Amino acid sequence: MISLKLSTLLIFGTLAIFLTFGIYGYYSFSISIQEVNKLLSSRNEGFAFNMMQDLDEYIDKRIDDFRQITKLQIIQDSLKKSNQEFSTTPGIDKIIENQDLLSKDSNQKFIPPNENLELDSELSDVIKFYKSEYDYDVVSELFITNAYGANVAVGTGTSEYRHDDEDWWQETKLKGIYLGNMEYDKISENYVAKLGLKIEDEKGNFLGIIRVSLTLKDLIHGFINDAEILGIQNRTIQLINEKGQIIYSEGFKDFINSTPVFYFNEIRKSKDIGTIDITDNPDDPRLISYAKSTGYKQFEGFGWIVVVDQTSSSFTDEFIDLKNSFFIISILGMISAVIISLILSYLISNPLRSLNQMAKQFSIGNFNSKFKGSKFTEINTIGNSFNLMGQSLEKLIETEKKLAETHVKMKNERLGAIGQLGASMAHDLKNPLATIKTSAAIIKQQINHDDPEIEKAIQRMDRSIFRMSHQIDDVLNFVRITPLNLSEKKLSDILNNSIDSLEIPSNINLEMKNVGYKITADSKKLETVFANIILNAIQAIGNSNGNIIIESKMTDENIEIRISNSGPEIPQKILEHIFEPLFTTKEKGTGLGLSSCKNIIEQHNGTISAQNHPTSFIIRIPKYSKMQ
Amino acid sequence: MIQKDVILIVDDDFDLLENTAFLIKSMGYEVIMAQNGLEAVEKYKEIKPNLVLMDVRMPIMDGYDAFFKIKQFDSNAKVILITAYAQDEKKYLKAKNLGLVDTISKPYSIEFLEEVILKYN
Repeated sequence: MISLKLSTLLIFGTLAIFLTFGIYGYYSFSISIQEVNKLLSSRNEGFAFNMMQDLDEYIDKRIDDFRQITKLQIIQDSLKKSNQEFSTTPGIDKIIENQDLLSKDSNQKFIPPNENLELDSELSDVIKFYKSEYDYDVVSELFITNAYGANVAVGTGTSEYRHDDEDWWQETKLKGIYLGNMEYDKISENYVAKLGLKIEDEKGNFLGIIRVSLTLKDLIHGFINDAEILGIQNRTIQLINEKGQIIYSEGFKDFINSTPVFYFNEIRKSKDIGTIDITDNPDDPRLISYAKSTGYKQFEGFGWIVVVDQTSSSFTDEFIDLKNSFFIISILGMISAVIISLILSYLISNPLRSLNQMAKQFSIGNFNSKFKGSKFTEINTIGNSFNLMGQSLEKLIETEKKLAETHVKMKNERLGAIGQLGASMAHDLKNPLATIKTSAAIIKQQINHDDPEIEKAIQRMDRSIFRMSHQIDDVLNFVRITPLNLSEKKLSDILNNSIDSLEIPSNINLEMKNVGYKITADSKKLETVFANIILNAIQAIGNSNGNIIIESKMTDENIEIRISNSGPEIPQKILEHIFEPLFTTKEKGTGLGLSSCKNIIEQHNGTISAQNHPTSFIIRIPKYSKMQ
Repeated sequence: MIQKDVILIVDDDFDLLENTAFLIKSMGYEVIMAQNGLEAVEKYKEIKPNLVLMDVRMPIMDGYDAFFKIKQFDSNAKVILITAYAQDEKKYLKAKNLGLVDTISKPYSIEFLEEVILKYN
């Protein structure tokens, strides 16, 4: 399993969260901005279209107003009368033929003035009516010509008498209507559009033409009202003419010499309604929604365009701000995640590491280390528990140690006393024993060997001497642990030496199997061990017939020597304590023999154990390991 | 007449000393006796025996010290120490280094004595 550092996990986890947050925010806001742009575009296009429609409709209505005027009885009658006069005037054709000459002198009267004061005042009334109605000049010029192009009535403006030589007059006569482009009229100091309308009688006969100069102010005043209502901060309603010059944008513009708007070319190429998205421009992001004039009924339109100019800041700024703040939050989040993770890992990992160190120290028995404390209550709780555990363990171990020491001390004291006694006894007994033994030897040399009773007595004496010396050896073997004197010897040699020191009774068959191995050990000490075990076996078998089998085998690490006998089994209770010092079941025993054997084998880093079926002692000594 | 081999036996236990002397004599050696280390050294210098059998624990001068003195006098001296145990490790190791022939332990049997004497004489 991959193990992760707590800090790494924290850092990557929080980084991932903030990164997801940031990316999600960024994209969702980008999409939102696009959606809002679309929404705004279509709404603004709607505004532009409606305003354009309203404007065209209004202009058409104005045209219609004047068309109604052409049907006034007074105008019809005056013109019929004037045309009658002209048709009866001799030489009129000649005059018309010479119009070019005449046109050079525009002040020259076409025909004698046809003073129609009644009509004049009628037209003046119309102008006044509009002026009073709207509080500005709706009409800057108003006059009527008869079918020959001669002025019959002048409301305001022109003083020219003859108009039939002018394009607008001819076009009006031909098409029934003429509408010129907006132009600046110096006299009225107004932008005006000239309107010519054909005047016909009820039978459709051509009577004359009415000419009106419609002021820009009037034509777009409705538009201005709308524009003022719709124009808010960041959204400007503009009107541009057919050349792309701004007519209106938060007020009239003196457009006659102005340059077209920079996006005019694009609008001109595009369809009637649309939006030019220049939100990509970082300095001045805008949405230019527009609607081109398509005319209304008889009004063909000036080719004007209504533009709704939305600076994107109003709707996107907040989104962009949000988007950016998402980014900043994400980045701040990521930075703080790293910092917090580092702090957390410092505050958590460090105490955990020190707890780990404490546990390690405990495991090697050092209970001095103390938990230093942490900022976190939970960790402190664990730390305090560790401290308590350390103290408790220390006390426990201390107590156990003391107990063990007391046991050892007691044992040592006891054994020490025995040791001293044993050593002094050995010295004190060995000399007299040696004297007895040598004396017995001398007697054996000197006596008559024919007497069986004396022979038996001497044998008993020998056995007693052997037993005594063996017991003394037991004590001294146990008390005095001397260093190992290692040498390599054949196991069989060591066994034979030890058997030689014993007297094997004739009722016992001693068998050795597979004992040819060489063994590195203290041979003298091993002799003692074998002698002890074999002697025990002999004593266990007693007087009945029996076997002692000594066999050995090599394993990978050990040499194993098994000494088994056919004697009675060792009771379980005894088996448990058989290697303990001073433990004996024999009246003749010191209780030190097997204990000494165990000491010697353990000195060789080996083990000795006893078991039944058959009664055996198993000794294992390592082949190679260093011995103490 | 063939000169008999001389064996010096040293022990502070006079009974044992006499018994041992008797047994070794019966093996056909000439035996001289000493009851402590100092006496043993003096006797050695005087007679130069072929072999010395000497107890370790003795009054006045112990077996090791006597051995060292004998070795000082005669580096070829053949000495067997009789010991219950190698009681003094340092002295034992020093003795081994100086050419101590062997050690035997009490109580020794007559057969063992004969074997040892034959081995080293």
